Amino acid sequence: MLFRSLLRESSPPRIGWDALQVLSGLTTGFVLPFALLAPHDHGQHHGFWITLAVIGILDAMVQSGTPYEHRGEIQKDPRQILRHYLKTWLTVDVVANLAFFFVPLSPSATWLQLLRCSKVFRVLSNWENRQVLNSLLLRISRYSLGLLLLTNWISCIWLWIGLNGEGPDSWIERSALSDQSYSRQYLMAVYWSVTTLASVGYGDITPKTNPEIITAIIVMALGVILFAFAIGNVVAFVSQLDDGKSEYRMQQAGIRRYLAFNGVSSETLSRLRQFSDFLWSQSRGSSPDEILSKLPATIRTEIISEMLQGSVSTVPLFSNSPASLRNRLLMLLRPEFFPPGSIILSQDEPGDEIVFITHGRARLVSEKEEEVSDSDRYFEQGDYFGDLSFFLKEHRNSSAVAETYVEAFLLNRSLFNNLIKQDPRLRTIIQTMASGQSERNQNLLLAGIIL
Amino acid sequence: MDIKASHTGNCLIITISGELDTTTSPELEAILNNESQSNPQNYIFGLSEMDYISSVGLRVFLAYLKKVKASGGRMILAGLNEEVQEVFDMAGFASLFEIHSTLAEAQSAAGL
Repeated sequence: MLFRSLLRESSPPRIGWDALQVLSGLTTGFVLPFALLAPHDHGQHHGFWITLAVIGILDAMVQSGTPYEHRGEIQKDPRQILRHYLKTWLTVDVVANLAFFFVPLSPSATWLQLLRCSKVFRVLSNWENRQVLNSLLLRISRYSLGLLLLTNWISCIWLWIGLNGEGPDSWIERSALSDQSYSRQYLMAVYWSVTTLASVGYGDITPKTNPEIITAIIVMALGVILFAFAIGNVVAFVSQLDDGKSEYRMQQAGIRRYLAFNGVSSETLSRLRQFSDFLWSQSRGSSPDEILSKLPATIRTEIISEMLQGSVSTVPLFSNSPASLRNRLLMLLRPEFFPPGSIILSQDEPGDEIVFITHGRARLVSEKEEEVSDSDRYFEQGDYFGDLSFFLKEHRNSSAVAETYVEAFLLNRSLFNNLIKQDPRLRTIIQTMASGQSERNQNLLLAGIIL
Repeated sequence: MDIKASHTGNCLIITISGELDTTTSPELEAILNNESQSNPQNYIFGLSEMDYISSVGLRVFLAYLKKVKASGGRMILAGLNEEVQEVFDMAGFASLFEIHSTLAEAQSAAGL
């Protein structure tokens, strides 16, 4: 059961498992070079590295059973999955996690474990594609971790050169660090690589021997490339962050200038701004309708149904309907937003619409509103109104006004007539709902209120 | 609109034909006020000939329902046509009233 859920990349156990691989890769990338270069650390902590190798092998097993996506299709055939893994990362994963077996052949084989770091970037990139977390955050994490790992490896190479240099010529001897602790020497190596990569170059630790000079040249060149790369990415991140919002602000400013020029009062403009900001906060400038309209009807219904899951459970019209009818209602009913103070249903108009509130609070506005209690006067999430005038086929003598931002579904008469014809179950569902609202309707009608 | 009222035992039976709307509802209200002076316990409304009911007509029924219920009596509606029945069903009033399909059924339910 657990293994099966591990094979689904979006399942929480799998995300946890992948997070463990990230941790394992990072530990290897940061600690392994430091531990291997330590003069008195040979052969220590073997148990720890074997544990990471076992976790890595288990992960290879999980990977070899995980379906993958190819041109938008999920490939589930076990042989295809294995072949795909074989072509991509299997060799790297096997070598990284079975590095211990190669140690008798060459002690340097233990360094092969560093290949495990590739897993960090594979997981983060996969999470970014699947949008497991904020994709911008994941991208920043990926670049930052890459930079940190690179800095650590450069530091370790620099440290290795210093430790294995020729007597007084090594940078460790020249900087009077030979008597210092290993941690201090490592710290100074990190300090040198960061100052060189960042093009600061204080000049307190300088290269002299050939290996040191070659390393310094490579690190300086790398620093320039990384600097340009980092600047480019930061600019891209910032512009991406604010892209939609600045476009929205410019558009709003243009509309406001036009309306103000045409004599619209500042109070109305302020209300417009509030409402536009509310809509922006809901959709972030994207236009889901446009995207959804291009999808096949079945997927669209499924998506809308999932998007409105919360509304479905609170509005009896949906929660009491069988799935097929509910999907049809969700597709056909008109969703609307109403800012505070706006009229949802207006008096003196024919009762041709019923309003089902999914979020927010609306209030009855009538000359006779004092004659009914608060509970009859306010409509909240799950309530509906407009039914009295709708079924009595009369004009409303009262209005309903949004107290807060109200999200609602509107059912008009022609749609109602069509739906009832197509699915007579709707009649029974409305009857059941109506019996729950009989007392409110009785009180309203007795007070002479028709909404 | 035509309204007929008769008393059987402690029951007031009223039959309505035509449309019960803003113009005709006061007439029903006046008849009810007059006939209820003898304090009938139960009220039966034969509505098989009633073609239409407006909000004002409904209000008369709802006001009397309250009154009758408060005095421990019963208010029974009988023979609602399809359209009127739909108004009662969809606006939630069907659950407030005792409704029978014929006047005879309503009378027998009232023990007449």
